[in-house]
Amino acid sequence: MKDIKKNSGLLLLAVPGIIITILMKYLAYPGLLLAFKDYQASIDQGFFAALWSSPWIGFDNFRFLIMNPDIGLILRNTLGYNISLIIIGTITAVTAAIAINEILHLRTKKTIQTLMFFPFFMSWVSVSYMMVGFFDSDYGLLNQALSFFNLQPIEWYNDPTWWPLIIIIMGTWKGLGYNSVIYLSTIQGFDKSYYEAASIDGASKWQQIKYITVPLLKPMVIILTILGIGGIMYSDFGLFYQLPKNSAALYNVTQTLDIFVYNALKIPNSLGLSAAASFFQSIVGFSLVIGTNFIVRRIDRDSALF
Amino acid sequence: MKKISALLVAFVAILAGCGSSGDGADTASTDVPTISWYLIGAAPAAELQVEEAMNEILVPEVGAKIDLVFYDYGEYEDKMNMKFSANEPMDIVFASPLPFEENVSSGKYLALNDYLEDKDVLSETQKVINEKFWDGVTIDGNVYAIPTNKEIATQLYYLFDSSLVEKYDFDTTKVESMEDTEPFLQAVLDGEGYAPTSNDLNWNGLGKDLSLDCVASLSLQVCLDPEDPEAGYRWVYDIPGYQDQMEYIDYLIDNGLMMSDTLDIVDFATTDHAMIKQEGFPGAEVNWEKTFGKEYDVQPIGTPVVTTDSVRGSMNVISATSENPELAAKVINEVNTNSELRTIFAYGVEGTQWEYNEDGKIEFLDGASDYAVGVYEQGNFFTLPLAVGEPDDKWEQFEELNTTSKESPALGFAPDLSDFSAELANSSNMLEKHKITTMLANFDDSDTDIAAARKDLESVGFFDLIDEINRQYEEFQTTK
Repeated sequence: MKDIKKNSGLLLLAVPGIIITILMKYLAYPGLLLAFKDYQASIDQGFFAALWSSPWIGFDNFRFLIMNPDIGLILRNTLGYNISLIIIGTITAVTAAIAINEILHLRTKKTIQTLMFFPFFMSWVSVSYMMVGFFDSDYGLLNQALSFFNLQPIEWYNDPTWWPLIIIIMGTWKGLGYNSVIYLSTIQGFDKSYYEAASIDGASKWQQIKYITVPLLKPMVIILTILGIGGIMYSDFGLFYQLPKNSAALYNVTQTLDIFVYNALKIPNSLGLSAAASFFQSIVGFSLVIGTNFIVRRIDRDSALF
Repeated sequence: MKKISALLVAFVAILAGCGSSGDGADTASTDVPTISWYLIGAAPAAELQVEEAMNEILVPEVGAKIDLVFYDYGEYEDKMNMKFSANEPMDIVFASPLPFEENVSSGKYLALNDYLEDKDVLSETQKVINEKFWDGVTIDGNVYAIPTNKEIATQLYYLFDSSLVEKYDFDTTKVESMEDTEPFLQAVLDGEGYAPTSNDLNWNGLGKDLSLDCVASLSLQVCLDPEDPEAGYRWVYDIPGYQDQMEYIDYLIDNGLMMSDTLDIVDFATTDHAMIKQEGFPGAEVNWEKTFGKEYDVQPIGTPVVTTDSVRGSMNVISATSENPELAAKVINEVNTNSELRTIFAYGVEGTQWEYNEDGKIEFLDGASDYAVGVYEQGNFFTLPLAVGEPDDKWEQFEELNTTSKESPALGFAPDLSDFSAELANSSNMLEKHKITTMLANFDDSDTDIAAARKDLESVGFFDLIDEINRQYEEFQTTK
C-alpha cells in the first residue's frame, strides 16, 4: 500500500497502457475460441453469443495449414528470414550505435542519426514504387545499367534468384535507424568512469569498445533478441508483400506464413481459419520466448528477461 | 495530477465515443422519415445539394427524405460487412460487393415478393427491369434484391487506334478473334517499332474470348462452357481451346507482338499501343477516348454470356434492419421509374452540374466534377437522358445487346462452398501461384506447365471442390 502511494504518479502514467492492454489483448481472448469453432454469424445475436452457439469443430480449422504442400517452404521462409534479420539487424545496429557514439562533432552525429532513422518512417508501399524505378524490367535503372555493360537484363519481378538478398538488405536498411537508437541510448547511459579509468591505464579506443562497451551492451542485446524471437512466426507484411509486388513467380522465396494466410483467406467467411493461423503463430512465438529465456537463464541468470 | 486525470477523462470519452458515432438518420427532419442509401465510391462534394434536389421530388411523391452514405471502394465491403454483423439500422444498401447467398441465408436481406406484387410499391419497377435480371437474385422463389436495369452481360471489345487503322488500311469489322488481328499487329510492329498490344491477363484476359461462365470465388478458373453444359464445371485448362489460347499468347509475346511485361499494370494513356481489349457496353467508346486520349475503331468480340455474376453486377437490397422497409422500396421504385429523379441522382442538380443543350442532350457544366458517382449502382439506365457525344440509339443498342446475349444454363446458380473453406483457401492460393501471368513468364512447354499446376492443385483438393460444385449444380438443375 505504501509503495502504491509513493509511486502513484508513475502508476498513473501506466494506466493508459494497462487499459489498452486489457481492451486489446485480454478482452480479445475469447476470440481464441474462433479457431475451434465453425463460426456462424447471425442476425439476432451479437458476436460473442453467436460465437458461443456456433458448433465446435476441434482442430478442423488447422487442417488448411497442414494440407498445403508448400507449408514446409513457407515455414522455412518465415524462420529463415526472421533469424537472418535478427542476427544481421543486431550486428549492424550495434556497430552503427558504437560508431555514432564515437563521433564527437554533435551536428554530424545528429545528421547521421536522422538520415539513418529516415527509412523507418517510410511506408513500404512508397518504397516499393521507388524500387520499381530500379527493378522495372524495361525502364529500370538496373536493367539499363546491365544492358549498358552488354549483360543480359534480368526480369526482376519474375526471377526469384536475387530476392532473398534483396529482402534481407531492405529489411535491415529500414530497421537500422530504429534499432541503433535503442543501443545508442544504452551506451550513453554507461558510467563514464569506466572509460576514464581505461584510458588512464592506456587502453586504446578499440580495446575500450571490446572490453567495456560490448560486454555492457550484452544484456540489452539479449533482451531485444528474446523479444525479437517472440515475433519469429510473424513477418513484416509490407516487406514481403508490397516490395515484391505480390508477384506469384516469387512466391517460393517471398511467401511467409502471414503472406500465405493473407493470400489464402481473401475469401469470405474465413474467420475460423484466420484465427487458427494466428493461434498457431502465437503458440509458437510464446514457446520460443519461454524456451530462449530458459536457456539464457541456465547460462547467465542476470541476463534473462524474467 | 490534474493534467493526468484530464487526460484520462479525455481518453475514456474517446472510447465511449467509438460506440455511438454513427451516420444514422437526419436530425433536421421532423415527421418525414429519412431513408438511408449506402453506396460505393468517394463522397461527392455536392452531396447535400443533390440530396435536397432529390427530396424536392421524393417528399411529395413518396413521403420520404433521402440520406446518401458513401464509402470508398477500398473500404466499402469491410464496412458494410461490419454494419450487417452489428445489426445496425440501414435501409437501402448497394449489395454487389457483398456475399449474397450468405447474407440471404443469415436473414440480413429482406424478401421483396410482397412489395413486387403491390402496385403502390414496386410492381412498376418489376415491369421495367429485364426479366433475366430477376433470375439472378431469386433464391428459393424469393426475390432479395432490385437489380439495375442496364447491360445484362459485359461485352468484350477490341479497340483499334483509328489513325493506325487508316495508316495500315486494316478492316476491323471483319475481326472475330485474336488471330484475325495478327496482320495488323505485325504491320504496326514493322512500321512503328513497338509491341502493339497488351493483355490484362489478370481477369479479363483469356477466358472471356471463349464466353464462359466462371465461379468468381475461384479466380475465374472454374468455368462452365454454355456451349457444352453437359460437361459441367471444369478447370479452365480442361476446357478445349483454353490451352491453345495460352500458347497463342506466348507466341505473340515471343514474336514481339505483345508487351512482355504482363506483371506491371500498363497505363494505356501513356503507353504506345495499337490495339487493346476492354469490357464495356454500347457507347462506351466515349469514355475510352476520354481515358486513353485516342480515337478508336471499336469491334465487339464474342457473344456475351448472361451469368449469375453479370446480373448481380449491380443490385440494391433492403436491409432486414430497416425501420421503414416499405418506404425504402417506394424510394427504389421512384428512382427506377421517375426520369427526373433518376437524372438528378446520376448527374446532379440541373444548372449546377449539367444542363440540357438545344438538342435535348445533357451537357456537363464546370460543377460536374463536384458530383461524380457510380451511376451504374443506382437504378434503371433506360430512363436517363443522353449525354453529349453518346449515340442517339444508345438505349436501342443496349436493348439489342440484352436480347441477343446468351443466357448461361447456370443463371441463378452460385455454389455454396462454406463447408470447404480449407480447400477453398488453399486452392485460391495455388491458383494465384499458377495464374497465367506466372505461367507465361516462365513458359516452358504448356503441357509440362499445366501438369505441374495440376499436381499442386490436386494436392490441395481443388478437384474435390469442382466435384462439389458439379454436385450442387446438378441439384440446382433438378429444382429449377
